[in-house]
Amino acid sequence: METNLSTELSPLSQNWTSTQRFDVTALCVRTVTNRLWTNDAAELEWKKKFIASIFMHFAVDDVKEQDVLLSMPGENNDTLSFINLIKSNFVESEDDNNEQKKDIRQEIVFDLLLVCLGLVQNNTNNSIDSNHKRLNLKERLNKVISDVKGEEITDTLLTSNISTSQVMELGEYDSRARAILFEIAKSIDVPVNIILGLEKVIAQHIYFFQHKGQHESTNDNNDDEIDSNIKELQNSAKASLTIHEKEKKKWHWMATGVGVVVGATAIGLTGGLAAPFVAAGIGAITGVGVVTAAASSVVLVTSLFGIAGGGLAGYKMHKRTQGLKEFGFTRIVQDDSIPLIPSLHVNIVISGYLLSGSDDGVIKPWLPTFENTSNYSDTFALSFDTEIIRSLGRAFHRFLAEQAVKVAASQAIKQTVFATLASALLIPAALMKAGDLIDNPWALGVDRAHKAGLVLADVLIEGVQGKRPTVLIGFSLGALVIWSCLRELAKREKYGLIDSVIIIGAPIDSASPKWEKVISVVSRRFVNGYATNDVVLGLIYRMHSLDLNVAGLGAVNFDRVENYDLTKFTDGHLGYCNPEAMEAILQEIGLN
Amino acid sequence: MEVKVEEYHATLKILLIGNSNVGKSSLLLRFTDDTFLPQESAAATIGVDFKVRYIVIDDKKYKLTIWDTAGQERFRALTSTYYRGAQGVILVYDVSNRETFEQLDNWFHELHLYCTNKDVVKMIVGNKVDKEHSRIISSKEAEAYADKAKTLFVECSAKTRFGVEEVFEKLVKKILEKPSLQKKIEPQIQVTKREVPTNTQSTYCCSNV
Repeated sequence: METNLSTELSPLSQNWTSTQRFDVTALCVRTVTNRLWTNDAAELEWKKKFIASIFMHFAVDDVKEQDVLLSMPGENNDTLSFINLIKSNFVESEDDNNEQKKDIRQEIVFDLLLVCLGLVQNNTNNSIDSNHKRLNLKERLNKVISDVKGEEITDTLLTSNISTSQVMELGEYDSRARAILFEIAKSIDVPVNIILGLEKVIAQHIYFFQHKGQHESTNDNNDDEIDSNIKELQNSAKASLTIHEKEKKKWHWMATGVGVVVGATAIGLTGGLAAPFVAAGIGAITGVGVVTAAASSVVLVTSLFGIAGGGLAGYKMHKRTQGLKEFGFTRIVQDDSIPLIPSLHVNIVISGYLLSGSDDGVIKPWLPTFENTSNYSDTFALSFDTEIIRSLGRAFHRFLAEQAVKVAASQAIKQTVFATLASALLIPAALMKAGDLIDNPWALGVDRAHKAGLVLADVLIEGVQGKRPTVLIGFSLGALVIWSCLRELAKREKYGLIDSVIIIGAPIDSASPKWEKVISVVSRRFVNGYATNDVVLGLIYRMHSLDLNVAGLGAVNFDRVENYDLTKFTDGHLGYCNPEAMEAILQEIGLN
Repeated sequence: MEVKVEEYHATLKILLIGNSNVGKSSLLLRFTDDTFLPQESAAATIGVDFKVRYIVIDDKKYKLTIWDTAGQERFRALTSTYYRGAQGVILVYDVSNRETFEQLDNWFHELHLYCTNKDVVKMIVGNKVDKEHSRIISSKEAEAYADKAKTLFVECSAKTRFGVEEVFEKLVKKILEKPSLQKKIEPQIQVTKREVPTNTQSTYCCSNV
């Protein structure tokens, strides 16, 4: 009953026909080449790696075949017919020779997930089919693509010599790879929850594999060879731990990229370096009898989940800095009797103001959505300068209690779309006076949100969350933290970290030219949630800025931004911190 | 921040196994959330799902951690780890499907292979008794099988709620009778920082403009 990671996570494509493998490869190449984020050299480099991994994994190793695939035209009218042609080869059917074919679409998604995680297997030895069928396919492919000769997009890939390119790193789940995976799944009609399920099952396997190893280490046999192997593994595991021990000191790094906060901002570890999961894992690997997969699983686990084991919660900013006083994460956990199985992606959620006296407002709005859900994923609530954002919450209250504001608000609601009511230049004096209440906390809050965003960018670049795609969700100033973080990531050209972003009630100019760059660092979804009855945002934002268009009040018209009108879920800006409302909002937007 | 102290006597780990589509997840969902998903909207479990529910037996509160495993063959190689530390195992079959009943032999085989504790309480559960007209396995036949296997036996319907509470009550009572399983049980106090302010509503209604 021996089990190891490699057989458990072994590719299913081994059992496909070579035609099917070729078709899947074609679909992948097509999807990758058509997907553009920044379309720069770095992106091209990454795409080369991805395609090289695909070629290796699906055993398309003939250079001529590779060329056929790479010279496929880019996006054109044939996309649909191309996908249909390819897809016919994956679904359950009988082909021309009356051979029964089973539906392999879920297997495709599973295998692609392995590729995304860097668990690429060289399948060359398994390609035993005759080339006959493949040639037919090439003819078919050529027929489909013969009409259009728009080869510009793939030209660069074609000339870049894929075969010498590196493949994807083990244990590095790039958010761009995840985006491609979702896109391919969609094109072959595999629902999102299947992808999420397969991610879950792989995470569970890595987790249980380690625990199994740990428990079996006591009754291993004494074979000499295995002994020496184990020794070697112990050494490598020790080395791995020592390296990270050293890095522990290095963890007191300066937040280099953070222009404003620089100098005093240092992020250090407050908790233990290795979270229980990873510590147990490394122990387990040294003891496990099956050694072939173990070495790679050290890499897989430490890299993918971070040596801190998704231990964002272990990080807290020590020092008082110019400006930012507090920056830390609280983990939203499941029931303590349930094994804490890490997920293949991380959510970071950010509240933008606090209404109650305690700090629990930082995590409370998110609990119904993320706590004890059956599709659990690692979720951390970011808190920054809670004192300031609490005083902002209090100021919001007082502001809304002012007579002038009540009048203006009722006007605003009558007009439904607030944007038409007041321009920044036409705010009545009484309102301006009411606005004084909020001036100071707002300005302070905005400043801290910006700085917290810069620190967050540093944390993410440093890989504290592990090399996993990250989803950022925030409302009010929390959205501003995300905005500032994304700008920093764009400035430093850090792509492949952010999977999706959901900003709600965002105090951000919706016509800003910065949007395009900000969107480019987000690999998959970019969601803007707004409410037309958000009086607080409407009045305050206008008093403090000359911009008339606010993302939190209306749609943002940039490519790839999904806009959601959330007016029916909230009675204004302060409705976002209501846990039930937030649950309904995130349900509407969909966390997938 | 208030601190809520929740006292319970012990945590018990229970495992649900059986062929795919016999209704393991439905049975669990009925027990923990008292809901039922129609067949169309119920998806096959992938890997293992976890649920927690408290149950009161003889005035004592117990916390049940229930592991709902996938019935499908694929991805079952690490199943052995699921059995570790389990005090109770529920083997589910579908009363309208003979194959799922006959496969119980295989499930027992796996159970005996992996279960470290020989005293673990086993229970056979025939689900979907609401489909009385298409029933294939009679209560008598299943009861005889359970007698032979020396396990508990209950019939239930996740759809109608019939027998669902009995499944878990009977199982937990039996677990509590076994001294070897008892040894591991120690009274616990769970301290949660999850305060529930009595007047939550007022916090939010002020957001009215």
